[in-house]
Amino acid sequence: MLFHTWHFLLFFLVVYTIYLILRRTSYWTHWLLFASCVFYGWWSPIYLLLILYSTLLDYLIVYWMEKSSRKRTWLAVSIVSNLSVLAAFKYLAFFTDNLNGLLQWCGVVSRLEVPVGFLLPVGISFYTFQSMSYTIDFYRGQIPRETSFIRFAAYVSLFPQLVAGPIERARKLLPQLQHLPKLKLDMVTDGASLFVIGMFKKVAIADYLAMYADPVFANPAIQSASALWLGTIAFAWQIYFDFSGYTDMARGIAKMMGFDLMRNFRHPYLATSLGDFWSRWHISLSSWFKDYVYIPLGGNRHGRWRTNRNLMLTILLSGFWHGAAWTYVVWGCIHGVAMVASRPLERSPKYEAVPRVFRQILVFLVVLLAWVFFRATSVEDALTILRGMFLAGWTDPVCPWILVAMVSGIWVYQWTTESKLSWIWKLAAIRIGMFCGMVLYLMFIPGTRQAPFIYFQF
Amino acid sequence: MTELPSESTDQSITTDSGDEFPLRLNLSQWFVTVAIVVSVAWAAPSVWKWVEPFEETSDYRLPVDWSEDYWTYQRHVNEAAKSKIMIVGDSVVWGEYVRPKEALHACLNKEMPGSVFANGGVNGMHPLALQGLIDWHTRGVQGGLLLHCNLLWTSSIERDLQVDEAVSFNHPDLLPQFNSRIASYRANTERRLSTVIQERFGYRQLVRHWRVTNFAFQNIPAWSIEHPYELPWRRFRSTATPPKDKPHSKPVVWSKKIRRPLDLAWIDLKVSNQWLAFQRCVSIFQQRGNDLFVVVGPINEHCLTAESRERYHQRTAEVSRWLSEQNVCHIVPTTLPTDEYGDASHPLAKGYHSLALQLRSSVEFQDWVLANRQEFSIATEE
Repeated sequence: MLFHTWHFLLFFLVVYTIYLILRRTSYWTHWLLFASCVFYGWWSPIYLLLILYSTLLDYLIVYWMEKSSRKRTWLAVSIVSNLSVLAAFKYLAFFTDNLNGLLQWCGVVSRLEVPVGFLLPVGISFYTFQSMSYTIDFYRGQIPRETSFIRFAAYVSLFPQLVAGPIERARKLLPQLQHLPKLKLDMVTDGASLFVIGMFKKVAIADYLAMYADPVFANPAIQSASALWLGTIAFAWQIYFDFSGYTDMARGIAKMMGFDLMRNFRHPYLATSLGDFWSRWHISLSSWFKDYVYIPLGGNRHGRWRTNRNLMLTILLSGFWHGAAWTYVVWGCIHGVAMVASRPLERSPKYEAVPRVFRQILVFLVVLLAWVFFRATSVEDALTILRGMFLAGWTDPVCPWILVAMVSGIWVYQWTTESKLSWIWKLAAIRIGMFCGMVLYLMFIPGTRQAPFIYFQF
Repeated sequence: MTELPSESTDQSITTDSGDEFPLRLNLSQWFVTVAIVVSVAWAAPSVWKWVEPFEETSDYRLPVDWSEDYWTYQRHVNEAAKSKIMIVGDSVVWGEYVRPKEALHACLNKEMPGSVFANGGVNGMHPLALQGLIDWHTRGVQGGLLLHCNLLWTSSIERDLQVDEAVSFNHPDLLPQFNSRIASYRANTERRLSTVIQERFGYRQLVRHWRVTNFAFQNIPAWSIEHPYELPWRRFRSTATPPKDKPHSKPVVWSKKIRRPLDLAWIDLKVSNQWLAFQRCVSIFQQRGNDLFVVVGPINEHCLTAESRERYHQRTAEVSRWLSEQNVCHIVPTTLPTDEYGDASHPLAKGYHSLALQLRSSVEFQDWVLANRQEFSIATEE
């Protein structure tokens, strides 16, 4: 059930109405859990078994951890079990395939059977990480044990953020489920505002950009350099608007119900360094990796070499989290290497002296080239695209000027929000005008095609 | 967080503070926004009628390429029905092989001086879709109405949309989306929901009109990908295009295209989707108080096998019986001469003329026309 469908609108109207009625009773968490199960089961009811397994596992492990003196063992059980599920459903085919390649390279004739027919359950990477954060935080003594299974299950499966985040921490979201959230009028209006903005980002911008980017990436060998550059730029903005649009809608829905979900994006293409980029892009994931991978590895405490190693490993894992393919590994690798390599430069006063806009363009270029691997269907395709971007001829890219104008307009908008001109967006007339424009555009212009969100596949 | 290595602060919490999105509305601003949006959506179809004037001519018919432009159809019908009797039906009424001036309405106007018929046919408008067209887009039609019943839609399970697999057919958006099971219609629930909700909003009809008439059935973003350097607003017209004065298909007699007699099955009307839909069409018009006259056929019986012809006669008898039971004036014209058909159901120009003569010779039809013509005269005098 996608947020930008009539299905979801009807579902939410029913869920929200009953939620408002039940808020005065003790059943509101039960209702949220039930609604989340319906929402998730809409894709396939069989998925519910998997989320139930993850939820039950961590709930019981924390229960036993509290009673036991061998907390570390229970933590290991939780991490291994959760990652095993993830590995089985997401990475098994990839590992088997690569192992077969390795065996063949070594001259071994026999081959392992590549598992087929394994359906990647929607959102598995998101809720597994969310569930694991509860166990780890409890182990660290940062949160108390959640006694109610219903409440814990509602935390893991809360429908606005279930399938593509933001990946919430137990210490932030569980307390919100423990007490009836205060529902103020401004939360409802802010939630509705976020929802409209998110829908506009997805339907009006991301899906439009996809119309240009998809054919370019589908057949990169025949594209001109100009088309490859524009196609990659289109994809860079597409994935940003697709994912941040989803997040805005998720946060908007949650806000209307009184929950505060974390911010996931902060104009990432205005970043002036790669570190800055990762503090602006998919914040809930990068901070998850920082808290549960980078810092436990030693963070920046043991000298430059180990800091770089930790950084590299964390970013690489983050890339691999996105999908079971070498393209994601390479994507993570590029970011890791670029981040490690650019750290000394970014900290130098000379770099600081470079005008902000040039630093932004430089970072955008690095991110852009890395996106090629993220989007391409194979490493070979990605290399073809990169080669083409620099060596193919420059011919008419056949890119709609409306699309170019739209992307330029967005960049200017984002720039103004972080500049002295940000006061413009506080004017009531401008805000009303922008919302009228967005809603009318959604009503009159786009088609009825409901393209799924890119991050649902992760 | 300046970059990942800083570990002294918990960014997952601190990044959530501050003015995270500058574009937000408070309650009063939402009221203003909703008021503006609703006003624009409500006013847009009326404003667009002024931007794109529609000139109703006596022989106007919806261009074939615009068959799904129900907004223009509605404008045509609402305008024409003020002073004319609409003939509603599929491409037989529309005139597949003839020019606008040679279709049934024009022949009737010629053969019955003083009569006032208008062409309300739409290409591919099978009864299941016609039901939706009538329900949603012909509400402005008052008084007399001539409805054509083309039984060819019940001649096979394919045409009756009973085949249990997804089939491509005309006007799917006009089909009943939830309250009847049509085996060949396999749209998912989201699409059906979207259709039901959107067909009820006037502005959505306008959006469809734009897409059909200006953007080759696409939305503007999709169209712009194919026309990257064109300005979309330059595509908008300053007037509805007049009908082309030529037939849609080359007028060739059927015998040059159909070599062997057709053994059409003519499925049982009791289980026919199309016939049930036609019955509902009649019932809608009756409930609205329209003075209805139904013309059943005539299809090209010359191209049928003897058995098929026999079955067809049984069906027409059943249809006639049902219409009589409903007190609906009707006529089942005899089949036209063989060289007056272009295919199994569409007459050629001579065929329409013959059909008009048959109708003129029917006393019941004459009385019905007279009654409705008087009604128009009175209305015009008033």
